[in-house]
Formats: sequence, structure tokens, C-alpha cells
Amino acid sequence: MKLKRLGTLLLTAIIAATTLAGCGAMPSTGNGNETGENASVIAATEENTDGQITLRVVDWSDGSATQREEFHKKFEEAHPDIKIEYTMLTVDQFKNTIVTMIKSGEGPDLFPIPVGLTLNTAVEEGWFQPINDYVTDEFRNKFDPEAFAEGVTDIGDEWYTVTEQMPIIQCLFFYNKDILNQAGVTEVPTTYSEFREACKKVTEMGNGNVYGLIDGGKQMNRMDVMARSLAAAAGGKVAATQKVLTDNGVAPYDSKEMNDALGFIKGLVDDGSIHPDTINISAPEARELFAQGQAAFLCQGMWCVSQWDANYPDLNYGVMAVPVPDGVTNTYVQAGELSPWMGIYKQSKHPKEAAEYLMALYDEQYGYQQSNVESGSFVSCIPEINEKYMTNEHMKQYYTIAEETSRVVPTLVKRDEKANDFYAEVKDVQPSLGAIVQGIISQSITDYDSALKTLANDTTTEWKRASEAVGMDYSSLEFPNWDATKDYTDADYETLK
Amino acid sequence: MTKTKYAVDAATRRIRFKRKLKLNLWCWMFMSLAVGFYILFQGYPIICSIQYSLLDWSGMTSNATFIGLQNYKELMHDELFWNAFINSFKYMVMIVPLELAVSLFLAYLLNDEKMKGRGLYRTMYFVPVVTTASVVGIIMIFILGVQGPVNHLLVTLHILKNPINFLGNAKYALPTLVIISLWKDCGTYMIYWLAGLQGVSKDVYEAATIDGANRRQTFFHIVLPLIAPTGGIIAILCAINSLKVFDIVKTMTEGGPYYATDVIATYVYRTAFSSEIGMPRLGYASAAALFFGGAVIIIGILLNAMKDRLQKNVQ
Repeated sequence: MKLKRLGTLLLTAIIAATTLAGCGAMPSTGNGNETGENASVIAATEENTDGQITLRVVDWSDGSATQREEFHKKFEEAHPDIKIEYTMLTVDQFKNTIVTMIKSGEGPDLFPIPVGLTLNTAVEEGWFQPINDYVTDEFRNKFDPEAFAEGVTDIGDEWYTVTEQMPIIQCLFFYNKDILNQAGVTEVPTTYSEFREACKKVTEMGNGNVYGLIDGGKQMNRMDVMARSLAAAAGGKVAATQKVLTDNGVAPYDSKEMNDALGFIKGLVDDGSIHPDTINISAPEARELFAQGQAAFLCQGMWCVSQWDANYPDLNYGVMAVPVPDGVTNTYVQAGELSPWMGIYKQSKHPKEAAEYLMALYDEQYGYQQSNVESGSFVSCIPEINEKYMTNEHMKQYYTIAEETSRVVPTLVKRDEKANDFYAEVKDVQPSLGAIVQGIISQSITDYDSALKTLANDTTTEWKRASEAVGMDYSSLEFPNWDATKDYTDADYETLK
Repeated sequence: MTKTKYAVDAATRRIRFKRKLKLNLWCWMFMSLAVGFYILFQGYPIICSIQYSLLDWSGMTSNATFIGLQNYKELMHDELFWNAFINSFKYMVMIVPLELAVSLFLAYLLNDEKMKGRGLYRTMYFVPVVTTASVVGIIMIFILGVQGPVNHLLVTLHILKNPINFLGNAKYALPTLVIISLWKDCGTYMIYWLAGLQGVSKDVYEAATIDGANRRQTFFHIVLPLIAPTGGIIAILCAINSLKVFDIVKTMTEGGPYYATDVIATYVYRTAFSSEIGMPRLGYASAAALFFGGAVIIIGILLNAMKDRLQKNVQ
């Protein structure tokens, strides 16, 4: 009887606990040894009885959702035999979903590479096929030559992905002119002390309704971008977000410049100048509150321009460079890095039609590129489109400042072919830089100096481990000829060989 | 005579066996659907999780390496895992008694047949249950914001001098989530309690009234002991659900500020599906989920053993 009771109890506990443990499991993705090729046999053909085919497109381009909708209408009108089935997910949702779709042989015809995965790895996994045979030479020639890079769009002679837009820095400061005027701030701040002073004036004037700075503090990635940009602007040698570079053989997280950058953020917190909701909100919410006049400054990217122009046409704002420590001059932030976007699924039943879709995306006739450039969503990869349609004043201002205040930083992928393996091997070190900034803003961390030291030490150890694991020389992470005040060029890579 | 008796006994046993078999078959038939779904949607993922937990695998590529128990060993030294582990239990300890008490109180009030509009009230308290957690989360961020209506009211009524950053302050964030979850899920447990209360015969209430018991006495001395077994089940369900909390935390705080509200589910999600540099770690996340599940089993068994020992001592 006692045994029976114990058995029942154990069974109940196991069911309850395994229900909890089951939360951690994702839908089966197999044992990791299957490739999309094997699964292709079960891929369904999406062809209607009337001969119309369905082209499935999945991505996370929420910033240009309206323009995409418009594009699809035009594309379907011009191609009555093609129906577009477009799914827009968040970045995380996409990551969760795409692997399962591919493993089950149900991958969409067109999709971007998930963040964190390199093109080489995606191709090795059998996700994409070269597009050379399906697109015209004329199509490739339309692009800015800088829109192509080995390991990003191409592997050898094979062209796999197109980039959505020309890379541009994701972190400049927007300021609300009306609020600064009301607070008596006549000059746009350029240094830490000027910025803090301006924020203090605004916060005092705001009396609990308006603050100096607002941002999406709930998103650690945004905090990471801000810290890296501030550190680079302070003269530090820091890689762009999600990238890896060492300075003097170590992960550059406890450098003087990074400490200065975080000290600047802490100073703003101590002054009470950061909007108290910053820690609770994400970037889009911060963008809304800035536009509603709840803060004088916001640190975000060009995507804000089109959103404000559409929803807050009366918002009187400007764009300024990332502030620098007092007395520091001739410093630059990391220029935007080219990233892969859409490619054709290797098992797609309709690669020709998928290529048609890709070509149409960059075709002036369909208006997708120009509507995005006109609205300020992004800088197109097609120079002609930018020349004709970049008329938005705020976008021009952002673009000019971005060009003037950023420099190309070296990238590991371009230097060492084992870099792709390295990025597949390296593991996140937590608490990350973004988390530390979040800790400062929420006042959970007071001793950020120790937190940065721990991060730098742990990260250096992890990068060394990952290098060794993939057989890459750790010193490849160091670029001794890198001068952060100049663009890192192909010639510089050659010198290192 | 003996032979005939044996034959009758054997026939009786056969009939009994057939009846039992028939009954069992019916039971299994009714259970088969639930068992099938359990195997498909819980059993299989759990087995996969066990397999993944022994791999160094991002979940995104086919490059998976068997590393034995290495993920579990690493977990033992992972401060953020233990932070999430403790937060999950803190959350459970805070919410379970509150949830049980509040939902029982509401159920007892709304079980009174004399109460007018009780159907409307029941619906009203149940509406948050059917509201999507993400929607609740987003709205609550603004309601509880520093410039939101809650702070405005508290400051206007001079209850607070300065507004409180409910979700942005590590001290208040977890209790705030508990209160929101309480409001959101209370309706479910209220329905469970109502089912239990409706199982209590009217005669019992009438007898208590005749004996001169007031409503409070009737509740504590008669109704509560009668519905205690139901309460045990509700408590288990509530505890399990609280340890699984995810959606409301993910939408409202993402586990922040600085991991103050990070629970196991958000930790597992973050580790399995996102990374700032490199690729996510599905294998490691699976190990974390399984370890937590195992820990819950052990803690449950230990607590039950303690309860039995205490009961024996009292007797």
C-alpha cells in the first residue's frame, strides 16, 4: 500500500516536473545530422490547379512593412502566375522557426540568414543555393560594388545573398529642438560634460514630465550598441556589435575608453537625467516616447526617420554625433558592416520565380527601393536610387553625420577563413556588455569597473578557447596595423599576410 | 461436488476477469487520447531534451558534438542559472499562497446563491484569464510606468511622495510581476474553487445555520475542511504553473532589470534562442530545463516526506 502510494506520488512528481522540463525542448529538429537535402523529398509543391504558384517569403523587416506590402501588390499584378505568401516574424521568432521549417523540408523559397549565423555555415548546412544562374548580369551590375563581400554575399564565384541596404551606423543621437530651446540649450552638445549639462537643464525644466535621455533599456542589444559606440567615440578600439576583435591581446571591455563610456552613462543616471521608464521599454517604445516629447535625446538608428515622418510629421528634431569625452578629438565610431540578407532556399521548387522576386525588389519599376529611400527607412544598395530619391532632410543629415563620424573597422571574417568556424564555436559570456549597461541604468550595478574587468577576463578566456577549438590562431583577432582614425582597407589586410 | 464447485469458481473468475478487462479497456480507451497527446507533445520533446542536453549544439546547424554531462557541470557554476533558479522559487513562494487565498475568497463570495449578478462578477473576474499575456504585459508597462496612472493616483492621493519605478527597480520588479499574474490568473483558480464549493451539500450549510454558525465559522470549520482535498490539487496546479511562468515576464521585463526577474523559462529561452556573439546554445538550455525539472521532483519528494513525518509526530 505504502509502495503504491509512493509510486503514485513519484509518478505525479515526474509528470509535473517533466512538464516543466519539457518547456525547454523545442519542436524536434532531428538529431542534428540531417540536412535539408534529405528532407527535400517531402517538400510540398505549392502549385494551384490553375497553374499559379505560391512563393513563400519569410523575414523580419518590420521597418519597411508598408513598403513591402505595396511591393507585393505590384509584383502580383505584374506576375499573375505568382502568389506571394509573405510572413513577417520577429528576429527571435524567425530563429526559432526557420530551422524547424528547413529540417522538415518546408523552408520558404526566400529567407534571410538568421542573426548569428554566417553565410558559409548556412551554405554548408544546405540552406541556400547560388543565385548566379537565375539572375541577370545587369542585375548585379546595378549594385554598389561595396554591397558585395566574400562570406557575406558571395563565396568564391558563387553569389548567394543580396543585402537589404547599404550598411550604416545604428547609433547616432536624435535631439528634440523644441525641448532644448525651452530648456535654454542653445548649442547642440558634443562632449560628455555638455551633454550632461544639457540633460540636466532639460530634466529640471521638465519637472518629472520631460527628461534628458530616453532609450530602449529592456533590449540588451541596444545597450550594447550604445556602449560600443560611446567607447569608440572616446577613442577605443572596439569591434562593432556581435563582432570580435582584441586590443593588445585581450577583449577590450575594460579599456579606459569603455570605462569612460560607462562612467558617462552612470553620470547621467546619477544626475537623474535618464527617463525612468528607459529600463522598462524597448527601442520602438522609446522612439514613441521621444516623439511625444518626453525626452530631449534618443540614441537610435536611421529607421526612426521614416516612422516619425509618418506618425509625427510636426516633430522638430535633429541628428547629432555620438558625444565624446571632454578634450578628445579626431575619434570615430564603427562604420556599419555589410550583413547578408535574402537568399533562395536550396530546395525551392521555384528558384526562377524567387529570383524574379529578388530582382523586382531592386527594380525601380516596382518602387520598393525608392519608397524606402524617400521615406528615410534605409540607404539603398543601388546608387542611382539614392541619387534620385534621397530627398528626406533628416535622412540626409543622418547619412552625412554617419559618413563623417565613422570609420571602417577590420573584420575577422575577411582576414581568416576559419573565422566562420570561430563564430559558430564561440559562446556568449554573461553578464554581457549590454547587461552591464542595463545594470547601471537600473542602478543594480554600482561597481561597473569590476563588472567590466570580469567580462574582459572571461571573454578573453572564451575567445582563446574557441580559437583553439577551431584551430584558428588567436592572434588573428588582433589587427596591429589598425588605426581607428582611418578606414581599414584591403591594403591593410594584405599587409598582415 | 468438489469438481462442480471448482468449475463454478473458475467460471466466476473468468466472468470477473472479463468484466475487469472490459472496464479497463473502456478506461484506456477514454485515456488514450490524452495519453497520446501527452506522448506526442510532452514525452517526445522531453526525450529530445534529454538527448540535446548531452550535446554541444546551437540548434541551428548539424554540427552537434556529444559532450556527456559537461553542460550539467557548467550549469553548477553558472551564477545566472542559479539566479533564475532562485527567482523561480521566489516567484512561486510569493504567488501560490496569494493566488489560493484570493481565488478562494472570490469563489466563496460568488458561490452565494443569494448574490445578485454573480454570473456577471464571475465573468468579470475571468476576463483577464482569456486576455493574451503579451497584451496584458504591454498595457501594464504603461499603467505601471513612472508617468502612468497608478503612480499618478498614488502621488495625487499623497500616498507616495515620488513615483515608484515598479518594473525598473530590482526591489519591486518581481513583486510587481506577482501582483499582475495574480490578477491575470486568479479567475482560473476561482473556477476550480467554485467547482469544489459546489460539491459541498446544501444540507451542510443548513445544518450549520441551524447550529448557529455564522458565515465565517461555517467557512473555516465546515466548508474549508470539506474542500481541502480540492485545495491540495489546486495548490499543486498553481505551484506547477508558477514555476513555468514565462509570457508575462518575457513581455514585461525580459528578465530584467539586470536579471532581477529572470526565471528559469526566460533563462532557457534566452540561452536556447538568442546570443549576442556567436550562436545560441540549445544543448545547454536543455540541460538547464532538465536540471530544473529534476530539482523540482527531488524537492517535491523531500517536502512530502517532511509532511508525512510531521503528521506522524502530531498524531
